Amino acid sequence: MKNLQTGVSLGKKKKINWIHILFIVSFMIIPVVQFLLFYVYVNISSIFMAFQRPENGSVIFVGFENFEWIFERFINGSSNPSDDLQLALVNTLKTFCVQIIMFAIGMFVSYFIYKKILGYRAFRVIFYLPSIISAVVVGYFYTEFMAPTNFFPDFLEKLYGLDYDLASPLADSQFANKMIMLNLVWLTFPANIILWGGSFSRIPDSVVESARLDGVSWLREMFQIVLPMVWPTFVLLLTTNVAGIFGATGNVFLLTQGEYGTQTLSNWMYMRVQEASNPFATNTIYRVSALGLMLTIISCALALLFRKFLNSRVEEVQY
Amino acid sequence: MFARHRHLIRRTVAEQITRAIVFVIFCVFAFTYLYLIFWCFYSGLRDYYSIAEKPFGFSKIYFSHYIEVFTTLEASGSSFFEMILNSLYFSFLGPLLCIFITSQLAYVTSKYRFFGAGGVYFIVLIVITLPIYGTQSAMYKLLYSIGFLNSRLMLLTSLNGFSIYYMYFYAFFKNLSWSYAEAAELDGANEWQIYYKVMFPQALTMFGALFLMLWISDWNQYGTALIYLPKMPTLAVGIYQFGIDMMYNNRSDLLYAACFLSMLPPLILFIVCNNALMSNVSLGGIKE
Repeated sequence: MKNLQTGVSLGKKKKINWIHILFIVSFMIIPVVQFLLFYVYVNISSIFMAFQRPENGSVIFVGFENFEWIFERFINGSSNPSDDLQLALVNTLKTFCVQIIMFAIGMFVSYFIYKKILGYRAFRVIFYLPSIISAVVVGYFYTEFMAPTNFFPDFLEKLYGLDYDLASPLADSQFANKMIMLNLVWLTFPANIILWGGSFSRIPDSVVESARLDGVSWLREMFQIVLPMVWPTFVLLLTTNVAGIFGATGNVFLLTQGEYGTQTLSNWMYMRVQEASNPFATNTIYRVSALGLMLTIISCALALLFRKFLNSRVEEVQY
Repeated sequence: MFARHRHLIRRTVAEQITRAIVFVIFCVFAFTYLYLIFWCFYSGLRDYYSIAEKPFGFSKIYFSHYIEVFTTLEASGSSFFEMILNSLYFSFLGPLLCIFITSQLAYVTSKYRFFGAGGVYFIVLIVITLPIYGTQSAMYKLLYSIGFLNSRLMLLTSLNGFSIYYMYFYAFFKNLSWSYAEAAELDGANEWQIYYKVMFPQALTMFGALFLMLWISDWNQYGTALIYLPKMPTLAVGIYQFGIDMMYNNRSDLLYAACFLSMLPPLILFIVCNNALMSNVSLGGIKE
């Protein structure tokens, strides 16, 4: 600790004294211990758990047994729908595609608010409501909307020309997944409104106005002026989305509990842990760790490649 | 200069049509979000027979449901009051401590040069960008082993300084002039006094905005609490569990009254502080 210095911002050097050390330790000890225990230890433990399973109240190493179980279900699916990881992977990728589309739509929503569309102040506040209202509450509202006593199931029956009585689209394998996606679209329509708003507001008015005086259309303004100027935010948010590819899920747990063909990878992992009662007796949580390890490796590689690709395509605008 | 030419910028017909269409779409979405709140409030006033018959209809209203919630609603042996207390404990105290500890960590690592200070920044960068899946099971195993499940000690897991919030504070303190500290030091203040009386008060606006964001998110959070605190339900978890129990005891009127009441605190805070929340988070947001 001999080269401890204070007043770094002014570049001044002071002699180390025990008060400084005590001060630094007092501010760092809690977050560092918390991090070591609940992040570092947990992650290392998770890696070990991927190669273990419980037996007679303790855990034993089983090599790649958990991974084999997962691969088997990825390749052949499962007769038990809640363990059908093949279907869960397909649903996850579908949800991810919807999320990417909504990411783009969310950007447009923020752009129009930035362009001061009529009532933009009210929209800016109202569009933040999905982030404030509990998902549980939204889930109940949506379930009631899908209830057989409401008009919506009848509407779907007519739209699809069904020859049977549709009780609830959320409890019908043909519609459940579509309804989960619809719920996702509804709730993520104004996604990232604060982050986009912050980035757009930094764009100098003079740049946009001079382009408008030159007769540039709004679409060209969006893609050729605004987007390059908020490129770092775009890259960051899109990379975060890509990195979270296997975490893509709608309100599956609250709306269907993964039933009726709506299971996703992240919901499968969540439900297996939620059902666990004793980690020294429940085998499935060790499979969750194995699946998590696989997904982490793949998504890290994907995120790195994607970020590299995006950064190589557009040159960042400095302003 | 450009302000003078604003009147010269004319919108084309295509642009006007686009804006009109976008406005209508915005209105539709905005209406559904507002209607959700109204529906929740109104359904809490209706009787459960009429809700079951027509969930989006109108019927006689009973204001007594909003009082009955406090006496009747129960989940995992916890009353509505206990759920509110649990929510306040985990969702209010937790974020408060988290943001406070994060600000301290960011301060020492941005203003003091010592072995490991730069490492903290690097570690946080890795933590927030690295997508890690499936660690809930290891966390569950750890909490089970140390007896934190369904315990107030779960609050200790909130004392996380290595999160995205560190970046906001780090950027703030990094740009904050050290001359304030030097002036206080000349007046005889020690390191703690410099932080608590001079430096920290300057970060209070950001502290408030970040705390508000984290508090709202934790207040509504049901996923983590349902795994680790099922027998000590917060409002979000309690309402979820009551909804499940409702399959056997149909009181959807109470459920929706409880939903509306749980929605109120974040809604009121948001209405009061939305300008501060949006502008401060934007200003302290991603640095480009």
